[in-house]
Formats: sequence, C-alpha cells, structure tokens
Amino acid sequence: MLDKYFPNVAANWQAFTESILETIEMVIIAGLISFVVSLLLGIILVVTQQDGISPNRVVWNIIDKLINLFRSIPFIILIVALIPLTTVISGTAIGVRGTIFPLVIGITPFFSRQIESALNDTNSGLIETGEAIGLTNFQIIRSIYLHESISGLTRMTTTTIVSLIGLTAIVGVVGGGGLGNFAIQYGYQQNQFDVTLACIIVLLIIVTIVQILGTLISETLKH
Amino acid sequence: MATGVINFKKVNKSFDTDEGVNHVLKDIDLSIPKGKIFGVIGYSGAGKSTLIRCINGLEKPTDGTVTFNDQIVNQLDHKSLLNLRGKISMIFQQFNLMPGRTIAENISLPIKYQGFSKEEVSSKVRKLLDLVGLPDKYSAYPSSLSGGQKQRIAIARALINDPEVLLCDEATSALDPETTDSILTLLKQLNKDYGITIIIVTHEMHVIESICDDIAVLDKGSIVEQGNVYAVFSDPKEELTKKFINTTSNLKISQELVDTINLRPGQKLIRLSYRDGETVTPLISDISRQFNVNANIIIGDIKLIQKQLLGGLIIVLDGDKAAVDSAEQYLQQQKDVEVEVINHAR
Ligand SMILES: Nc1ncnc2c1ncn2[C@@H]1O[C@H](COP(=O)(O)OP(=O)(O)O)[C@@H](O)[C@H]1O
Ligand SMILES: [Mg+2]
Repeated sequence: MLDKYFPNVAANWQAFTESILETIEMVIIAGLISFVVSLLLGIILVVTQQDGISPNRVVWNIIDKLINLFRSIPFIILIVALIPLTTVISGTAIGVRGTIFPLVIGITPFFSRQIESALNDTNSGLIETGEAIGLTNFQIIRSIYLHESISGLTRMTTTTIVSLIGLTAIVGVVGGGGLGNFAIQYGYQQNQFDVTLACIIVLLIIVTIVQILGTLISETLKH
Repeated sequence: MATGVINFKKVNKSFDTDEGVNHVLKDIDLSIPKGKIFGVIGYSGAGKSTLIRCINGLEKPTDGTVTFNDQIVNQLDHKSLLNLRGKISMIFQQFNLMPGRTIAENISLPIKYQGFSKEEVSSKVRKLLDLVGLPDKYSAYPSSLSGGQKQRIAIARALINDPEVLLCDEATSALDPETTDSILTLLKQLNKDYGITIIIVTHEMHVIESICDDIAVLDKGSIVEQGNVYAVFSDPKEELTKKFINTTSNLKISQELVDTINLRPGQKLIRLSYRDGETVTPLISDISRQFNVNANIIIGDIKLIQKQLLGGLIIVLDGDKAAVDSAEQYLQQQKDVEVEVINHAR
C-alpha cells in the first residue's frame, strides 16, 4: 500500500522515520528547556505585577517588554538573526543541535504568556488567604499558585507544544532537520507531493496525540 | 485608651487610584477588648474590609498605628508579620478553600511548613474536624461541601495555629439565614470555650445583635458611633445606626400600614420602645387597670440582646378620650420607655 500511494516515501523510508524522530527530539528538548525558563518568567511576571505578592515595577517591565519584543519578530527572521549566537552556543547552526536554541527563543515568549495567564487564573482570594495564614511568598507560589493552576498549566503546555511542533517544521526549512526539512527536500524541491502529504499526516497524528494526552491529564488533575 | 488586645490610633488609609486619592479610613480610633466579640457594621464600600485587613497587616495604614498586644502591626518586618498571622487568623465571605486540596490538606495548610510530623498534623486536623462538627470530611474535596460546611472548614483552618484573635470579614454574608445562625453559634462557642477574641465586620444587623458584645458603626470610613451593643441599640445617636437597627425591627411600620389601621374616635396608635431590660407586660396591664383603657397590641418586637430585652410594641389605645389622654401621659412619664404617637383619630 505504501509503495502504491507513497512511492517516494517508501523509497526514502529511513530518512523519513529519522526525520520523525528528529522532530520528536526537537520538541522534547526545546520544550523542556523552554518550560523551565517560561515557568520562571511566568512566575516572576505574576509575582511582580502591580497587585502581585511582591510588586516590582522595574523587573516586571523589563520582562514584559522583552517578551513583547521577541513575540513581534517573525520566527523565520528570528532564526536567521540568531545564527551567529546559535553557532556560539550550540557549536553549529544546522542539524537538530542547531535548532534547539532558536526554538527555545522562539517559543519561550509565547509559553511564558501562557503560563502567566494560567497562574493569573488563580482566584485572588486564595492568594490573599495564603498571605493571611502566614505563608511566605515562596510557599504561596508553590502551594497555591502552582498547586491550584496545575490543570490550567497542563492545558497551556499542550497548546504550546502544538505551536512548538509548528516551529520545528519552520526550522527545518533553514536546514534544521525533522519533518519540515524532509518535506522541503523531497516534497517541495523534488516535487514529490506524496512526501508532503505523508509529512502532514504524521504531524497531524502527533498533534492529535499531544492534544488528547494534554486534555486527559488536565481533566484528571481537576477537582 | 490603649487597653484592648487590638488598638487603632488615628488610623488613616488612602489608596492612590487613577481617579485620584481615595481616603478610605479616616482617623479611626478603636480599642478591641480581649475575649470579646467585636462587631463593625457599615454599608458596602464603607471601608470595613480595609479596616479589618489592617489588623493582620494585609493592608498598611497610611498613617496612625495599629497595635496587637504590645506590637505595632504596621511597623513589623515581613518575618514578624508572618508570625503575627499565626496568632491572628481570618475567615472570609467566600470561604477561600483551596479547590485542589482535600479538607485535611486545607485545614493543615497554615502549618504545612512548620515541621510537624504527619501524625501530629493528622491528629490536630481530626480534633478540629470534630470541633466544627464535620468529622467525616477528612478526605473530601471542598467542591463536595455546602456553603456552611465550607465556612466550618475555613474556621477549622483558622484555628489550627491556636490563634488569640479571629477576624471575620463578612463570614456569613454568603450564607442563608439558617446556616448563618449555625455559624454564629459556632463562633460564639469558640469565644466562650477558648476565649478567642473575635472581630466581625458585616453589613448585616442580625449578626451584630446575635453575638456581638461591642459594636462600632462605620460610615464612609469614619466611626460614627461605638460602644456596648445594648447601649448603642437602646439609645442610638446616629441616623445610620438607627437605620441599621430598623433593618431587623418591624416596629418601623410603613405609612401604608398606618393607613390601613382604621382608628375610631378616641383611639390612638402608639409606638412604645423599651430602653432597659425590664419585661413589657406590666406596663400594658397597668394602664388598662389604672385608666380603664384597652391597649390592643398590633405588633410586638422584643429581642434578647446580651441577655437583656430590647424592642417595643405598637398598640392601639382605645377608650374614653380623657382616659386615653391620661394613659398616654402616664406612658410619657415612664423613664425607660420612648413613646411616639403614630396616628390618632380625628
Ligand atoms: N487595593 C485597593 N485599591 C484601591 N481602592 C481600594 C482598594 N481596596 C479597597 N479600595 C476602596 O476602598 C473602599 C472601601 O473598600 P472596602 O474596605 O472593601 O469596603 P467594605 O468592605 O466596607 O465594602 C472602596 O471604595 C474600595 O474601592
Ligand atoms: Mg468588604
């Protein structure tokens, strides 16, 4: 069947499966790094905002403006602009290794905003209660903000992973590897339409799995 | 002056808003006696929440001082403030239980980081659950509880640090009348059994008359009247205080009602308000006997405030015109009764 409907995919089967693994690898590594950074930024934004538990205008403004700045740069341009820095940090600007840094920079502003919004969904009365029962700011972050928004955080993380999968495909265009790269090389440059179609199907499957898993986890975390 | 467990001295609080400075508390002087139930009543927006939040440092006065025992609350550093909040705990109108935690986890949240063993925490929680009458809710989640049950759990949480003071910000305002009474009974019991000083801010007169010993009336950020509840109720000086008292009294009858009572010649519609704890009946039988008049009680409204009677009657005096007049005069002469002729027949 594969030979009949996807002859060019079958012909490059190994490269195809490799590119799937590469995409998954990029999503996981960039996603994990970005999660840590975004969680930190999201927490700082919520804590330092005007009615936060430790307001700090300067810190909030710097992070807020930086995020807005990076969000306004189209990703493809950001990748190119980052190439010198990427080379310094990752040792190379191509291949999977070269994609992680631009992917993290590309997704973190979005991810931080998602986390900020999930944390801000915590009922302000609960935060006030945390203060009234004598918890420190750190304890409030841990036991109330994070604990009570875990379901929201899961939902936001799911949305972000889906966006990140999109970014990995774009990164492929500039020699990054993964399904995007595979689609460009065979589907576009060699005009093999079945390759493009196969890439779409695989991406669709990955996105669906992510979304189903995300919803499932988010629902079980709700009370 | 500074004799209470909590004292406010010349406390002012303003908020800077986009529309300008909002002066929310104005020259508040308050002394809250140890072991008492102190009520603050005022309309929504009067500044009640701001006032009560100054006590545990959630809000910082713009100037003046709030003291707890010999500590000046608004000058404490953050660490001492966190300690203070173990001794002054708080419950809220919306209960504010953590939806993602079980009842046991909710109750023990204030001591989660204090290094108690699992067994110690669990035994404290069970004792408190017994105290608030919900022993079987240990592993339940807040979403499965009714409003009254949620407030009981919030009270248990507030007690886990053995506080000296319990602050209640509209703690019963989200509850139906019956549940309100059961929570008030619980608060009264805590006050009596453990000597916890309770401060209640509310817009409901019913709460004040049910359990408070002392009261302050807050109007647009100023305290306009304060004192012992019975004293304030029996002889209110301020218009606002009278308004609040009337919200729970049915002695204030409408003109409509007055019009429906058809008085025959000689009859008078009279309101009697009692001002000390004496019983009511002798007066009525007195005038019936002495002046040979009939006193028909139309409305009676007597309540028990701090174990003393307070309230009055609306009566129709009926009889010979001269007799009715002398009976009225007799009533006017009684020191402890306020007499008001609402209507008389032409
Ligand atoms: N953090 C705040 N910033 C600005 N204004 C506030 C703040 N908190 C309260 N206020 C204002 O203070 C006034 C009194 O509020 P509050 O103390 O909540 O009254 P109450 O509890 O009696 O309804 C209101 O006009 C409110 O808008
Ligand atoms: Mg309020």
